[in-house]
Amino acid sequence: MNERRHLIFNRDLVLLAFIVLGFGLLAARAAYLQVFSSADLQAAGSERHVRNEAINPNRGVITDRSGETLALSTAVDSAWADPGILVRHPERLDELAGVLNLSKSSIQTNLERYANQDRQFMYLQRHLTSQRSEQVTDLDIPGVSLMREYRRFYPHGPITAGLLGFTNIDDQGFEGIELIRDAQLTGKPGLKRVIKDRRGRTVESLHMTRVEDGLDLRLSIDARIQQLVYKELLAVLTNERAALATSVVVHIPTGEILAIATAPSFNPNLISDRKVPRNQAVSDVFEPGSIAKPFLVAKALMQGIVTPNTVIDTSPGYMRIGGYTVEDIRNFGPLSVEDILMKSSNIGVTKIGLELDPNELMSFYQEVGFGKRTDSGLPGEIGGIVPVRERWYTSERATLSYGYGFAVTALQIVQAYAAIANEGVLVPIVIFPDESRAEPRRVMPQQVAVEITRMLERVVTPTGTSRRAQIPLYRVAGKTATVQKLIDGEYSSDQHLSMFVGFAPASKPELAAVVIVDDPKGKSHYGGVVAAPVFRKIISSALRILNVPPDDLEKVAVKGVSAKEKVRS
Amino acid sequence: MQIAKNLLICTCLISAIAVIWVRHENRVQIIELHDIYEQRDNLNTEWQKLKIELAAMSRHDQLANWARASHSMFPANEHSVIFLRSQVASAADRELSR
Repeated sequence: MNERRHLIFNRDLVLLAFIVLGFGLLAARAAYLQVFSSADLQAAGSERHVRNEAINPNRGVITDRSGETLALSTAVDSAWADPGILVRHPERLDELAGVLNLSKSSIQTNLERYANQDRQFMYLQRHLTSQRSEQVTDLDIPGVSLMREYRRFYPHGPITAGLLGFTNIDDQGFEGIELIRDAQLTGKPGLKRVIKDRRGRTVESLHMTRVEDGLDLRLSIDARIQQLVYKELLAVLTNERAALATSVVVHIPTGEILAIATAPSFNPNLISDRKVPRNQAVSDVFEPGSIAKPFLVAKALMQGIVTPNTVIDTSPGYMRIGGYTVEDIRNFGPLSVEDILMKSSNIGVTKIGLELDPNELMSFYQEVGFGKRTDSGLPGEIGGIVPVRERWYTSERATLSYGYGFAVTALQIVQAYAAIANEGVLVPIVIFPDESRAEPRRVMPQQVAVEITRMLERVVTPTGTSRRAQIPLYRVAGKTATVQKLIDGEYSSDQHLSMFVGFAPASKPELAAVVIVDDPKGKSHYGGVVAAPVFRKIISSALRILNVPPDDLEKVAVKGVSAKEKVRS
Repeated sequence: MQIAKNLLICTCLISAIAVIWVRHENRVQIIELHDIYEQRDNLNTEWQKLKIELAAMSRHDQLANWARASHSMFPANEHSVIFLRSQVASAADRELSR
């Protein structure tokens, strides 16, 4: 028994010894790890740890009215590094620099600076081409990885640049519609908690909040018309050696802007080419000159001061008021109100204007939208000035009559003419067709609007000032203006704005457009010569694109009827 | 008593194995989910690139230039359009001219 006890005791002892030895080894190992190699291990630990990663949302697409892409973000890879890890692999910087086409020294200095500051993130190069991003993946350098970012593309380039603006490198709105609608287009980034290994690969994902992509945005623009407008504006810049050219095309029944462009523009896809976009149609005010005359006549008709047939003597072609002389281009003699508009006689309108109360005239101009921002929603729009005063000098009242002394934008002009075309109902113009819009309102009696339309149609006849705006098969109504530019408070003698505004088809108006050519240096600077042909080219093509039926069939044969029995218009 | 003890040991073992299994399954599925997300992102990227390509190639002015240059097409002018009177319109016109 004793023998046996002894044996058992020995066996226990051996077991105990093994256990003690085992624990002893463990303790020694722990002590070794803790004391001697802690630095290495901490580094290894930090290479494999939990990270929060942002998932970038995809920015919304901007489309034209029919869904054609105007701006789109597409995913690109950006190379980044964890400086703490990469700095311990200096032998691979050469390869990295080669693939990214950067100098090794620049990577190295940044890397050391970031590593010293204990930062965990450093961009190496952003927006890589797909070829380069593959090469970076193939290199498989510790601490270097790719992230998904988005880059904006504008398939129409300069054609829409002035309107859309552009985004910065982080794909945030920076100018134009991209800026004012940034919140809607951006979306919400998602978040991903992941465990990564030392090569930056995801080992385990702990948590994920879903990314919310940005919302798409539809504009009222028609890309086809926008292209053609820009093309014609570029052509007039070259042909007339002008500084700027602007045009706005509006769909009259809905007030939707189909095209709005200023030339010259820039290519928003090339960062080096980017400029602050200039949308002259909303950002520049000017005195409207002759373009305001139909509204003065409308006011006079509304107050019963004149009828279309009232004859006013404009001879001898000039008129002294206060210290100023009002002049016509020649002595027109006695003219009816209708002819005053057709010939754009300054003396005629001044004589009518002096019969009107200037403040009532100004408030009528405000009523038709002059001097205040429209409800278009366009970025960078300014109001202009239509003053109301207690006292007016006679000379000031005269200048008001022929369209000086107050300032408007191109947008306001096209909106007001669309109101005439729309039989006196002003439909507020818009660029975002899917959003709530202001109510249409009547600004002049239907009868007056129809009367003015008829007069404006006569302007675009061979005897009027705008015969170059005539479009075959369509009846066109419109008005030209040539105004001297106000430069540092003085009227320039050699810098003009040549303008044309009009609408077609006159019997059932669909499209209104304004064309402004800034400082033309060609043979002529008159609106009827410079701007009217641009209007004709834009509107004739746009009518064809939109399949608007012709309304002027007087001179063409219609099959199925004899030549004598033509379509009555 | 003995049965209860054995049962507890078994349950404990089963639950331990289940924990390991669930954790493993979780990892596998998360990796699968990531792969699917990545696949979706890649398809999205391709779709966006195709859309850009489509937008750039289908530009109306380019198509018009191409039609002009390689097919000698031109916009119909007033001389090349034939106007047809619809039956209804002619009837209405006859009615009016009576």
